[in-house]
Amino acid sequence: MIPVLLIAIPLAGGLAGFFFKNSQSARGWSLFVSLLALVVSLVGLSVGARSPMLNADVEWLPGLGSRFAVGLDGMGQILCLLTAVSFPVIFIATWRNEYRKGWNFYALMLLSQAGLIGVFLAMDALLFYFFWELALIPVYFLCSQWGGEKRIQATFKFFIYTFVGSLLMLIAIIWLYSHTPDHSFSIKSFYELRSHIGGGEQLWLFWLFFIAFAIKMPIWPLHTWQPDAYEQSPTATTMVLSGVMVKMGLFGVIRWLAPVLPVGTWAWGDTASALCIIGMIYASLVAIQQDDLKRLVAYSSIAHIGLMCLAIFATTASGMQGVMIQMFNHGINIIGLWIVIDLIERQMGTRKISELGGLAQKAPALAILLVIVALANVALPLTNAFVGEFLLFSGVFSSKATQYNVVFTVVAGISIILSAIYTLNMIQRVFFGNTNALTEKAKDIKLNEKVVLATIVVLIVVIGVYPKPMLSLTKDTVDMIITKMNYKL
Amino acid sequence: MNAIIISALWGIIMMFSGIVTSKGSTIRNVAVLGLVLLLTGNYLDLTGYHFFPVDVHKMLFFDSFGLLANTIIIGATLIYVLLSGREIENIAARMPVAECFALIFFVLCGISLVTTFNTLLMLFIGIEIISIPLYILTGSDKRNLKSNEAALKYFLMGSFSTGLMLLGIALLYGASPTGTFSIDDLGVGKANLSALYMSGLLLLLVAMGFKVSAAPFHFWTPDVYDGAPTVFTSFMATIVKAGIFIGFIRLFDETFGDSQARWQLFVAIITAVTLFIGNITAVFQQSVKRMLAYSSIAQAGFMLLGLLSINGLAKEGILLYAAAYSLATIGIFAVLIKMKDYTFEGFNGLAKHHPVLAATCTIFLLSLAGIPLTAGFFAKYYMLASVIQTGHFLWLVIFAVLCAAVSVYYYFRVIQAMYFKDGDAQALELRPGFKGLLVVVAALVLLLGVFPQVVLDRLHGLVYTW
Amino acid sequence: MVNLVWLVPVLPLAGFLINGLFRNSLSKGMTSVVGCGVLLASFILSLLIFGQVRQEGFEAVTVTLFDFISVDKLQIPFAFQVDQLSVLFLLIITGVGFLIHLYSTSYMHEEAAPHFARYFSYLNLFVFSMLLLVLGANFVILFIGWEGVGLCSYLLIGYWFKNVEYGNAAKKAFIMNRIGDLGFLIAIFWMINQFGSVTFTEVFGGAKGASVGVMTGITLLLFVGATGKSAQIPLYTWLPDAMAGPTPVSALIHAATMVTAGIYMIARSHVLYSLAPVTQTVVAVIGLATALFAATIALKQNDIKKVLAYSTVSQLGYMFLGLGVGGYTGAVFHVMTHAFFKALLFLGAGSVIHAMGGEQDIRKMGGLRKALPVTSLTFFIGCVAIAGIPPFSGFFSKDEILAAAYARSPVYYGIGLFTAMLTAFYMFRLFATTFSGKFRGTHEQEHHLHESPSAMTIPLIVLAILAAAAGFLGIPEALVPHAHVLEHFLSPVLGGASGDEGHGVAEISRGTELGLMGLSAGLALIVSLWAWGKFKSKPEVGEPAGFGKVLANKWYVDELYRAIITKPLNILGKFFVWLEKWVIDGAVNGTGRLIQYSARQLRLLQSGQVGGYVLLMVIGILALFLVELFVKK
Repeated sequence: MIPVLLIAIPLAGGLAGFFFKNSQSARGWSLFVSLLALVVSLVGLSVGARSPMLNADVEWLPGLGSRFAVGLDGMGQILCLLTAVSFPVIFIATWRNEYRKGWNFYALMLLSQAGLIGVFLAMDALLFYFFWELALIPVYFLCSQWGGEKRIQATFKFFIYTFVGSLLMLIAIIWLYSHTPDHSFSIKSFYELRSHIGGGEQLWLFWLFFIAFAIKMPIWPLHTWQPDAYEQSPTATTMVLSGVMVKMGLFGVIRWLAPVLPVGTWAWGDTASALCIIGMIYASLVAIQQDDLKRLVAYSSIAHIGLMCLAIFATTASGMQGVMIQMFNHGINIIGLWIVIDLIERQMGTRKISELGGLAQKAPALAILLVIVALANVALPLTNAFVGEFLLFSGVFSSKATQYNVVFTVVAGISIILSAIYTLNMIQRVFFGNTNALTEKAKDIKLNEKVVLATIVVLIVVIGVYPKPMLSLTKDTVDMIITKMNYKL
Repeated sequence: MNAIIISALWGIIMMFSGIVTSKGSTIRNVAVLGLVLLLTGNYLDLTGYHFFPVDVHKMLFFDSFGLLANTIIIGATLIYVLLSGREIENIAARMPVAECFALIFFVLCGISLVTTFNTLLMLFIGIEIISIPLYILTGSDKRNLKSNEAALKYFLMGSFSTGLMLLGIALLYGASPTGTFSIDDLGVGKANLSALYMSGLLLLLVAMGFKVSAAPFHFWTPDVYDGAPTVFTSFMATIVKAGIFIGFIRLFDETFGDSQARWQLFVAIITAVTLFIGNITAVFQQSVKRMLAYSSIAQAGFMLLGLLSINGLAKEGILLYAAAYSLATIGIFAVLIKMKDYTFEGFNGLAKHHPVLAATCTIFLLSLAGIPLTAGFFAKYYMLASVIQTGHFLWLVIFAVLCAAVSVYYYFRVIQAMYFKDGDAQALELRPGFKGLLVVVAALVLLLGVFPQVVLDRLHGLVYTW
Repeated sequence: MVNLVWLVPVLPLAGFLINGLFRNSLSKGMTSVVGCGVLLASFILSLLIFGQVRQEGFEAVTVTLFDFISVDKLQIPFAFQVDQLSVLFLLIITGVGFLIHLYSTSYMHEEAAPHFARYFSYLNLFVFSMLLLVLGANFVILFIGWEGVGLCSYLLIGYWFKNVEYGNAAKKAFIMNRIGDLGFLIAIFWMINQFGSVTFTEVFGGAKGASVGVMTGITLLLFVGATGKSAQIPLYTWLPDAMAGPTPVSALIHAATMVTAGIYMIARSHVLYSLAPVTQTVVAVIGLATALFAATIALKQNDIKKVLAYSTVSQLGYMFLGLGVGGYTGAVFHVMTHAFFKALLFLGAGSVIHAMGGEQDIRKMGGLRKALPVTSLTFFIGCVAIAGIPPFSGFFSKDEILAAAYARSPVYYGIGLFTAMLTAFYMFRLFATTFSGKFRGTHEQEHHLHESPSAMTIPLIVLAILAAAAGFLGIPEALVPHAHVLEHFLSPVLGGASGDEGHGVAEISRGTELGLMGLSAGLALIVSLWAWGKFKSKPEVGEPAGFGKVLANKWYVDELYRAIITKPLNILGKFFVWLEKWVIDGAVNGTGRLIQYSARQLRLLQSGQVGGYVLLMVIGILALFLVELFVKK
């Protein structure tokens, strides 16, 4: 019941949104719809893990052995919560942005939300693929309609890039489907496949999946679409892309790759981990060189995602717990950063770090909130990211799946230092120092922005100090995944 | 049987209607009426009502696969006539409307032969009945040099392929010990084949490949499709191609089914080449019409996957593909005809001036690109699945999806032009009826994309019953 | 009472929140009251707890607040541990902290109200983190405090954020600490992997079972963390730059408390260290090297705060020497005395700078004794204490370390002693150039010279008394048997009379010890008098030349780091940017361009000539037949 609502509400709301013909009311409507979705997801949290309300399963394509099966497990809960929290936050934060034909904008935003939630809830491979694409199409239109001047090329690259990935994934899905004894796409049959397909197949099937997910996350060297896409998209969409959408990749690995192809995952674990680590260092070093705020955050995000992916392949309970909670944290924190950047860009008309400076004098509130979010970005203790990264790293360090665990931890650890460097550089050069002609006329933030940023900060601190509820939420999922991953031929 | 006879008769009726009246709309209505009749007739045939109890001496065999194909094709024709029939009148100045419609009906007659043939002779006749009217239709725009040139090219190369086909049939006849054209006898138990048989098979493969414009026998396609009046391009690219494909599948399933292992490789090669040439060349085109010509080659490449792996999925799929592809392409051509400028630039900013056109067009393009939620996705899905099920040719599958990714490039160029580029795309006058029908077609595409079951259930039952 | 220990850190936290959230509405008076009030409260609370802890047979108490992280087997409670060691640090932090808060109220009075409040909120936050650090019952909580103090030091160094230089200094401090913290973190992961827990009791309990290699690894990584936080070679360079912060901050964070966190952490986990002799040697050598190295640099510094900064680094080196040779009590003892006299010195320096209107270069001072009687007197006591002249506190603590060092190896002792003499020398150079001789500043500076208000002098006086008397808490066995109150007090934590196996203070005879004491005391006295005499008449005001120049430029270490770390990283980054654009993304776009290109080529096949088409068809057919003939299937 609840999962259906979670998908249906934004879907219906979005379709209705097209008929508004008036940006203001469309904006209000979409905020209302997203809040409704938030309420539903909170209800979902409250009913308890065993509740039958958390699953729905109806006939869809009997001929193909595919059913409309959706369900909320721990991971689904946490990611739906992230999605459901993000969208209202985004709508409020970008409340003052004006869009040409705004109603289309908001409608598409809601559609992408429906797609995202669908991805997180789908318990049927074909359905999963459907939502995977459904989430992509609206974002494509959002970016190329309302983005920056180079938007069409950037978004098109993004689209084709991800489309190639998902098509490869489709092949893998069909292949697995044709090998299921009961010719079914249901996740159960997929989880039982391990005993029907040999290690040899798993070795190449792994890549058909992983490439798709790696492009989405993105993992080095398949990441080059991301900085351009983030830079060119309208900020609201960038928030969706980086806050929620990149989680699709991680989610995919956790739900559809690692447990389904344990042998392949185990065999390629080191290779994938190496890519993740190269990406972390690489992205951090590139981030230090960036002068554009959006690109800087984009690269820092690549580094953070790389760490999470690394922890997945570590195959440890603590690491996986870290991934779960960190998926949420990363989403919240990076949205916070985007909000600040959007504010700066709208006020100053530039994102160039070199052209800014001394904002702290003019906008103290903004400065303080940013500093807190930034500190979460560098995983300072008592912020949410510390809990996440602590678990991630300790998971990687204590990994039994690889004999390079220590090397991985140390090299990956260097990125902590690097992240401190570029984050502090950014704070330093944008907010501290003296004002210049441009930043002289800067104003402090308005109420709506204050509210959302404050909300984010509160979340950051609360989760950072008392992460227990979050952790216990995903415990069962983690145990299930880990047991499935530990399967060897 | 119903389809064949009714279409033939109605073709004649259409001719005479030209004498009675020259009023375009009337003639068109007659044609529509005919099509409706045809549709119902064929459907009744499917459900077991045969108006004309004729003994065809195993020359034809009316299985539900063929009849269902007919239904889809005739249905597509109906939609086509409703959407673009009016355009036929616009070239009427040079070509009597009635005759155009008559020819269309004859083509349908040929198709319904091709979809139900049981001897190679019938196949040949059907193909010819299809081809000859098409030569005329291609050249129907008499004053237009391109049109004439196209017609001539089509005729020359068409006759060449006809020759190949005949030769192939003859060789097979020779190869058959009993001396027969019946595919039942030609087919059975041919595990190890004589060179004679094999050559005949290959020649037929080539000839049919030519008709469905499979590379490297596709060269006529772009020139002819580009030269022919757009309204007939639409007809050829969709309905005709789909019809012949059914025949193609039927031929290789019934006749050469047992020796699949021997010819699969050739089909694989042809498929790969077709996909490659079709998609890659389409990338470069500047005119949407020509792009669609190449896209039709590319789509043929995908359908060939079904030929490669002839199995239940493939047959279901090919029908679904025929439906999905025809609907989408007919829709796009219907829009294209309304455009003043056929180049990509001509579509710039269409979304602003004609949101409905743009929206429906987008859905059709997404379907052609095989994006989920559209019929095109399931069509492609079936093709891929059928090959994967065989367990071989995985490289071809991967190659195919990469080509599909390329196809996104040129299909989305239109979307970009319509939505993200500024310009004032000019469209000729649009009747609300036209728009309404477009929306209906688009809805159909989406419906097939979300609940293909409505068709699939039938297919499933039918395909596996015989 | 002990169970209320959580109040001790929570009070400053409350202060932080109040001052932080209402910084725009609070008056300076209110801010000061809140800021100092919470500290005073915590101090009193600590005293009460101390009263309970000092009773005989007090067992360490763990106060668990809530589960912080609990993932399958790993349990990390948010818990505080109250024992002799943590209480001692509680007293130092809250006590000295309070005095410095008090001092700040007047030192910072020129700041605008919101910034004044910001300053105090940071200061309170710092105290909160520092208290977490020393109260934490497991390494994670310790680490939380550890990074927290790092953050606060970042915020306070960069307090005057308009100044880019200060900002960079703050950044440097934070990043250098981060490097150390990475080591600390990995050590924690290793513990989790080894012992499945990070709680002190469990880790120390399990330590005996672990192999020497593991213990060495863990302890070394922990020590890496310590070098960052406590400014040891190679990560010490941030501390001198950290003097960019307001002087009270330097006194509190960069002299009295934060920088001693490393010593606390090692003393706390001395069980692990005594199991890893290799690490102990490393610690001792690094400590000694740092002590000597920093002392030499201090000789030629002319910024009053820089001199003190380097002397702090050097003194910290001393403490690590103490830890390295197993004199844990001595090290902690020195932490305490150092907290007193170094805070005193910094606050004195602050009072001087205050009087000089922001001037920090001692070459422009001189003869301030008359103008600043209290300051100069207290400052003098500080100098005597740090120089190690009996009976002032420095003498006792430093001597205990030296004695322990001698027991381990006379070489340690020798170098240590030499460093001590250097210390005495530069301290009195500093004192003489600043307070005696005649004034060398400008005129308006001269006539606006004045003694600081009582809010600043009272802390000076209190600290001076402590600096003078604190030594008697640790009278060595050699002089008066069983008079080492501190050692007795700490013995439950740091082991019995001068500790367990692994260090041998006890092994040297009473005679030698007395001898050593006399020697060091005498030398210290002589050197001090010599330096004083040398500089009070003719201070060096010119630019240093020759070797002095090298010292004045801090052995060019900063330049070295820039050359071997910062630059290469930058170059690598630039290379990656290039790689990104031209190779990785180039490949992606290249694929696109390749398709475009082949499209252009393939198009040429479409010649429009029927003949050509037929030819191609025929070729195609032939190809098929060739395949049929020659490719065996």
